[in-house]
Amino acid sequence: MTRPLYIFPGCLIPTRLPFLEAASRFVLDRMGADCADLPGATCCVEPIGLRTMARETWLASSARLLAIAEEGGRDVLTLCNGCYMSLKEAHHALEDDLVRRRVNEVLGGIGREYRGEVQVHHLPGYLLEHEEGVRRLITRPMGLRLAPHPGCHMLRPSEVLRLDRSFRPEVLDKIASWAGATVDPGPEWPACCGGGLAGIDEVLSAKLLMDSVRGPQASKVDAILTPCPFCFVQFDIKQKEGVPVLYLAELMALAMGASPERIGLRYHRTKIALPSP
Amino acid sequence: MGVRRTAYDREMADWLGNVAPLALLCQQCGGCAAVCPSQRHGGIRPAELMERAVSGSLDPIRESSLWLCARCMSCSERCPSGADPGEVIAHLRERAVVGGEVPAFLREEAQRFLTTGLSFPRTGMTRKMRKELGLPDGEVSAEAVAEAHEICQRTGLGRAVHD
Ligand code: SF4
Ligand code: SF4
Ligand code: SF4
Ligand code: SF4
Repeated sequence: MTRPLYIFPGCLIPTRLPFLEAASRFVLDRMGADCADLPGATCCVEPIGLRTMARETWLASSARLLAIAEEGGRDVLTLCNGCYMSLKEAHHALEDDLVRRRVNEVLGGIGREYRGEVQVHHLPGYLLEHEEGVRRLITRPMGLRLAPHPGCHMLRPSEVLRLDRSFRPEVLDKIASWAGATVDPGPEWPACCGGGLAGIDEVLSAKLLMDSVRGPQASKVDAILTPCPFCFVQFDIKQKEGVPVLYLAELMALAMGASPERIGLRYHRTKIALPSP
Repeated sequence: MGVRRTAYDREMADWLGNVAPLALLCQQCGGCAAVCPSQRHGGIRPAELMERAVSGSLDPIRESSLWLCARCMSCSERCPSGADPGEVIAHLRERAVVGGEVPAFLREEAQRFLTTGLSFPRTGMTRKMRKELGLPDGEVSAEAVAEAHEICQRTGLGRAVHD
């Protein structure tokens, strides 16, 4: 049984892709999940650049978010691979008593403490745990052919994230099949979309992106399926001759009967052709 | 002929700090190099960096390739020795930052986090979209920003972005 949840939308979704938040909220609402917004949320400390500048800042900032959730008696649910990796890795590091004590000294300075009694969930994992409930809600099977792109930080480091296996991952395929979609077999070792290099080296980032879309472009799928807003930006905006992209919650919301208007599908740069209902 | 300095030397181990215990596990099998999406296109070279970190021939402040890591963590996932090259690279970046070397893009992002509590800017466009979609405004509270700022001052990020 999952405890009640705090939604942690992070900062990329709320600031640039609020429609992905709308789709996520639609799905959680349909599922009857007991959700509130995490009070006092800030960014988790972005895990690709910022975190590597100051590991202790990341650890303490993520611990602060976990401490707030703990105080409210709810677990945390992330909508973004980056947020999931940040919080889940922090959660893991903080299982060590010495580390937790060190971080709590910092948190003490803002009147907080983390005891280690919160769980961190990522939306795909949450859906997976509620298979029956999700399947029952599918009213409009989506006859789409999709290419899965789990994104690095849903998978690796697998020992810590514990959501899917890193060789031939299968979670996205499973969930998409409940929604009536067919998923092409993805690469055995899923590629990185280069999102982590955007802004630092655009040329290199674009080359990584091209490596990750060559398969989907050649197989002429209807869309790429991803649970990560960073990957979403790479595919929707930076990809040339783009294959459209669907965020996992968008697929599920549509299959649960959401109208494309309701979840803001119009905000996609690369338009997606949906099968007629 | 001098003896080759390695991370087993006391002095070298001190220099390497957090990096040493991990980097010393590296067997130079090349697994990380084979799977690195950045190296494929002339970016970072994880196996080589591991070797150079251990032998002391790497200066993080001058090693601009450190910033060409996408942090996909494929290298660490594939490493058979538990040397965690992805994490070693992160530690080396932190040494560069402590030495005053921060890419402009990240300096800006860090400043944004310190002042707004977010890594990405909120714009008029987002606010309009949120309204159209019937979403709560979701602004970061002043108290939350103050707490995040205080954490940055007490840990590393506050120092890193102050000139
Ligand atoms: S991982 Fe990214 S989106 Fe999530 S809170 Fe951190 S910076 Fe924001
Ligand atoms: S594929 Fe790119 S954006 Fe997506 S999780 Fe990996 S590094 Fe991040
Ligand atoms: S984490 Fe960095 S070094 Fe390691 S494989 Fe990915 S891009 Fe290469
Ligand atoms: S995979 Fe591990 S052991 Fe092999 S070269 Fe890379 S860091 Fe060293």
